[in-house]
Amino acid sequence: MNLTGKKVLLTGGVRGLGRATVEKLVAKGATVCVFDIDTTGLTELAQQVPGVGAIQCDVSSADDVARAMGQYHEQYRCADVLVNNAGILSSAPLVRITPTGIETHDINLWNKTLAINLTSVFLMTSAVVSRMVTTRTRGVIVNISSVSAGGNAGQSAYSAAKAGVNALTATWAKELSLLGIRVIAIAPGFTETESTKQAVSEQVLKETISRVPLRRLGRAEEIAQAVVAAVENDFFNGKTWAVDGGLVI
Amino acid sequence: MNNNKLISLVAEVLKLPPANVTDTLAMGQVESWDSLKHMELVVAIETGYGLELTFDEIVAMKSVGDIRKVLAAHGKA
Ligand SMILES: NC(=O)c1ccc[n+]([C@@H]2O[C@H](COP(=O)([O-])OP(=O)(O)OC[C@H]3O[C@@H](n4cnc5c(N)ncnc54)[C@H](O)[C@@H]3O)[C@@H](O)[C@H]2O)c1
Repeated sequence: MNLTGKKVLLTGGVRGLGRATVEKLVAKGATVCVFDIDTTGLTELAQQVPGVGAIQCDVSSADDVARAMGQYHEQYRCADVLVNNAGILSSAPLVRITPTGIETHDINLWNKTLAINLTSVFLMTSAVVSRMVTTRTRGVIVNISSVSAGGNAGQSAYSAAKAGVNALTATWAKELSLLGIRVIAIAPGFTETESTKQAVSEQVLKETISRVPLRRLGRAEEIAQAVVAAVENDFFNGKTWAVDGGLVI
Repeated sequence: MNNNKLISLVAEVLKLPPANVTDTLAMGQVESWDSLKHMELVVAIETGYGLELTFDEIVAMKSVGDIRKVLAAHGKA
């Protein structure tokens, strides 16, 4: 797909990998609109990257997605590309031994992590694909997964959510390819973003870097570059592309 | 000629003997014609007849007879 003039809807584009991807897509000549929960961030984004649309939306809420998609379709008619990027990193083991006994993974954290990282992908994709089907648009769905989908100790909910994202990628590719809709995923390894620095201690980061064959963290623009390349390659479909410096080999 | 073409196309996609493909054969009547197979049928018709169907036409194609009507509207019957 040539991205020039294509309409791209991206979730979680205010910060981090999403923001880097917005910039790459705009440079390619795409018409980008961002859904994000961060209202202030959206206003700043619209000022900093002229031409980018900004719609406030909590992508984990069915009602909010329905409202925001209504607004999007009124303005843009139909997206050619959806990038499901919004997500939160959450870390907690299944059980934790404490001086007073045993603590189990908090159910609220489990539900929240699944809602933002997995249910959001289901909600956004069903809304966008319905419109693609009714307008016979041959588009691309890009899901941002993670190398944690393979199972990361201390990240039950996050790993399960991302494994679910990979499964949806394969399932939807099988269902939608006949209609000319490709479904693909990018699984970043540990990438240098504010959220990584906040969520992961210096010690864990050092230890992680030592396990990466390239001995460094990824850069946001490298993930953005992979998103663009995967969209542009019309024969890439149904697969999850790990962009992780060789962490998972 | 065109009648045979449609029958063999539907029979091939739905894996049915051509003799079982009549105008009254409808979606849901045979196990093989489910919503996923319907999309396969749509693509086979588009490729076979060199046309692009609208969403309303896809929805209207509930039986072989309906497909024939849609094709006629495209001047392909
Ligand atoms: N940074 C990494 O190392 C890394 C590694 C692997 C995978 N990922 C994945 O990449 C994606 C982006 O991660 P990031 O590091 O850039 O995160 P980030 O925290 O820097 O940015 C996430 C963006 O999503 C938005 N967001 C959060 N919850 C939302 C909601 N409910 N509705 C709408 N928007 C919401 C935030 O406001 C923010 O703009 C996530 O899916 C994450 O799981 C990141």
